[in-house]
Amino acid sequence: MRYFMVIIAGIALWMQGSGISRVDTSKTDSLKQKDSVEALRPHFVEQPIKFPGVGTRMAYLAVGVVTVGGLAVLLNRKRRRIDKRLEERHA
Amino acid sequence: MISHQGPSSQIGIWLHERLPVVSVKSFLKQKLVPQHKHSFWYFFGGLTLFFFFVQVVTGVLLSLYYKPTPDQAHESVRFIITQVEYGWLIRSLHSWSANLMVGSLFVHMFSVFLLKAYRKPRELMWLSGVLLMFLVLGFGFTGYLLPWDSMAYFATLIGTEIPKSMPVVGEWSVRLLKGGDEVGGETLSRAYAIHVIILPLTALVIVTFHLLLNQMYGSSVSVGTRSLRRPLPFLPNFAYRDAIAWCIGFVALVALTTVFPWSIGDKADPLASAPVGIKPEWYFLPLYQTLKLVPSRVAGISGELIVNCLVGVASLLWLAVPFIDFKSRAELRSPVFTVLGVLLIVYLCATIVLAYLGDMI
Repeated sequence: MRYFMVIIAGIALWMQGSGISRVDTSKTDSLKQKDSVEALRPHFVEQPIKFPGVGTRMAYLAVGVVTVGGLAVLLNRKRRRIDKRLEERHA
Repeated sequence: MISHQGPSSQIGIWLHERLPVVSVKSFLKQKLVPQHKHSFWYFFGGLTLFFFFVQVVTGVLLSLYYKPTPDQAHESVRFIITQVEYGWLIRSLHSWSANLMVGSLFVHMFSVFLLKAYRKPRELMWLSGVLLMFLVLGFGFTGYLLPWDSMAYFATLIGTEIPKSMPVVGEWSVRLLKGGDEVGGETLSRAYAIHVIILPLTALVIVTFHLLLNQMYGSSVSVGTRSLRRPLPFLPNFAYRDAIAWCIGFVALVALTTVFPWSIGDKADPLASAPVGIKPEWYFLPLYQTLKLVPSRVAGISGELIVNCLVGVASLLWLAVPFIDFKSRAELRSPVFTVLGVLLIVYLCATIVLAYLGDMI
């Protein structure tokens, strides 16, 4: 009887370890996980590639040219003043 | 201890006692830039650096949305272009700036070569510059795969097969590049890690070294060139000129970005056949076209192996230029190397044009 009980206890321990006797929560766990991942994941919905219209892009170009070009003009003026100061120092 | 040239404001004094800011400023002021008929070429190094800064800034912004897996890479780039506010602009800036950076780098490198600016004591500047060129080509190769569209996938498939013919290291290097036997998820994550971590860190170290040497030795004057005027102090006189050049470069970049925004092809399908007319980016076309021109077997030896060996030898010779150009080392004119340089430029341009013309024929 003792040996039989030891065998039964061994089988019971093995079943416990293998998860057969445990409640199967894997399905509910993965569902919960899926919900949270779906909530966080940005929606990469297939959108046709459509850039802003030509007018909008030309407006961006104009803004870029005016701001950066204007900056270049200001820098050039400052450069001329600094160069003149340098020449006067060496004269 | 405050030097007699120290700052006057409280914050300036506090900083000066803890950081050598004034010493750094006076170190930068020491550099003089020669003024002569070739001074125009001095701007291209700084312009390359400017485009690199644009790459870093736009790259960081893109990395906030990009997902480096085969399932999500293409979708995330589409998301950036279509959904993210100004995403199309940032992505186009990044792509166009890459091309302009490579173009500016080649102009800078060939101007240094033709002006023989690698002469003593600037040999280490040449070596670090050539290493930076290889790093930039590495940036281009790894970055091209990241959108995971069919052109990128198949161009990478072809590109990673090229080193296979090399003896001893061929197979190993291809497996290292691909992260396995096929171009797949491992290749993509490897390309992303190399593009975003390994190459930027390495480039940062080498660029710092390159700039430090440039600050120490200044800009070279080619043999026989007469200075037109007194040399200019780098800070602030030449720095203002550099800043103006950067503004012009930025306007060119914005013009290209807005007139020709960078799109994306269909998602990569490894089971499909390669699209017609597939070819790498323009800066890899000389290698690609050379491989096409050389027959598959020459005297029983694989044509690919011959080209790989030639490119390897040429790269080593290119690195060793300051040490093999004996006339320049003796501060004499070196017409042979000038002619070789011009021939190389003509060959590179011709192969690029041929590669594009081949599509039209």
